[in-house]
Amino acid sequence: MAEKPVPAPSEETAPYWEGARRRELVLPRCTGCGWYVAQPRLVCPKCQGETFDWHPVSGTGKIHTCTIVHQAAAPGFDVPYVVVRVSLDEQPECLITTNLVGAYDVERLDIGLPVVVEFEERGGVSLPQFRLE
Amino acid sequence: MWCDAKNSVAIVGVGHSRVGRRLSRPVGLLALDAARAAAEDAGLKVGDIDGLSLSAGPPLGPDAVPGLRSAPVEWMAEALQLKRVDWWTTDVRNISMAVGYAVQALATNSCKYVLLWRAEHQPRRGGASNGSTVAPKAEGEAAYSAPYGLSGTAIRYALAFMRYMKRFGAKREHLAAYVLAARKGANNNPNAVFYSERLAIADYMGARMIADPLCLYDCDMPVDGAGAIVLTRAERAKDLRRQPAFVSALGSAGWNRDVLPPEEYEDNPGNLGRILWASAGLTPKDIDGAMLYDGFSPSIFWWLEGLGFCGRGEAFDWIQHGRIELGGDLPVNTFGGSIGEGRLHGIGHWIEATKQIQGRADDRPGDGARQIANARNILVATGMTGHNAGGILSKELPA
Repeated sequence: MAEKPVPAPSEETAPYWEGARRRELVLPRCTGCGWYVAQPRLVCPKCQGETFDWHPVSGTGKIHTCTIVHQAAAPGFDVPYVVVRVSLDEQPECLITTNLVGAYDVERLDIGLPVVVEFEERGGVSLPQFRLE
Repeated sequence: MWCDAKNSVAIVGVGHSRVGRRLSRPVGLLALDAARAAAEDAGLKVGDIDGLSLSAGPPLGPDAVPGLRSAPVEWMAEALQLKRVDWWTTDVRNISMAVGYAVQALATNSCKYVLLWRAEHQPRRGGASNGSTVAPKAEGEAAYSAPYGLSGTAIRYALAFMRYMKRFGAKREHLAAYVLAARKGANNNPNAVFYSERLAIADYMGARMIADPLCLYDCDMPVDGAGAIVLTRAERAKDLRRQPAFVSALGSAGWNRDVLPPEEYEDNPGNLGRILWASAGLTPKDIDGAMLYDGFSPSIFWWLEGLGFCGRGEAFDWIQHGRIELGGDLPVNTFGGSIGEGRLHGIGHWIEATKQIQGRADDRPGDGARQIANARNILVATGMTGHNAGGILSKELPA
């Protein structure tokens, strides 16, 4: 059985994965206007600022959208599995891709349901994952 | 309105190669088949062609041998033994952008006759698992998606469409109205990969799911095949064999980012609509049919809403009761679309729009009735993932 992909931290993304190891969701935040981005960016999409610092967020949010994948192109995944985009409470425009871990009824998945981050150990990396709150 | 009578350009010929699953004929030869058919259709000799343009995806890697894995301009110029090429473009992603460049080249007299093609070859898959049990590394942006099993465009469309359904109350049954209409088109189109296969609502509702809410029939069918069109200026078009299909509007529009983030895909077509209507001096009521790119079927909703045929969140209801079928207010993808004809990335849409304007959408042996009565203006839109472009073909020379 193939293994699931493991994220490879880069120089730019290292603080995100180091934060996850500390059990914190840490995101780049524009030093000019305070706008969060899900992944490192060169330019702030809100104010065109060019500097960001890394800032912890609460790790709570709402389901923005979801899908149940029945045919996987990705290695290591047993179908069906759930992919969710989470809209962060601090800034609903900031969307994080995740699975939905824990026990739940897939028939009851809906946009707007509250979720909270937890962390999965995979291949030496801590991976942010969300579960229903 | 820039598409004025003085510099008007028309599509004057169209051609297809065979289209099918895993054809043995190499893609370069399929492209030549389509190119020769389009030139002949226009009443031209291949040697009259002096402009070349293609729409092509990203290079396919080290095995992208010209002619075997792709049909690039240099290879085609040589294979067609063109003595002189006065204008060409290379590797334009969106077919409608390639049409736009060709129109501009002709409007500025860079060349006389442009041949434009799209050729598709589906490489055989090497098998997802090579027996390795080592976890693959997810690098770059994929580090944020692949570890969650988010790979491939179908899942992204599924996420976008799930949100649309939840917000507006759309159901799979609503989407089926488009998929079944497109299949009827394919059943009337001998080029279509699904020409001989009927589809009933029960087949659709019971189909294998790919990523909920998308099932197998919501995804376009990968094929080997090619299509080509020939364009020229209006004053030359009148001497050719076919009635010209005049380009009366063109647009290549980025998305609107007033809202961050936009609704994925759904917010993309709005700007294209604005540009097309301004360019043509037409409104949605003037359009007799629409050929809308449908790599995944929910795109139809987002095109119809963004282009202004109906309001936001209304398309799933608007398309019901035959409205987008032949005889309805706005027949859509009468040839089957990408989900019915096969994944030719938009050239099929332009070919059908041309034939509808020429009044000969169903003139071949094996064609089923699919001519739109009195088709004066047909809209084409391609893209959806961000790089949107399109145009309107008209029977009358733009004023």
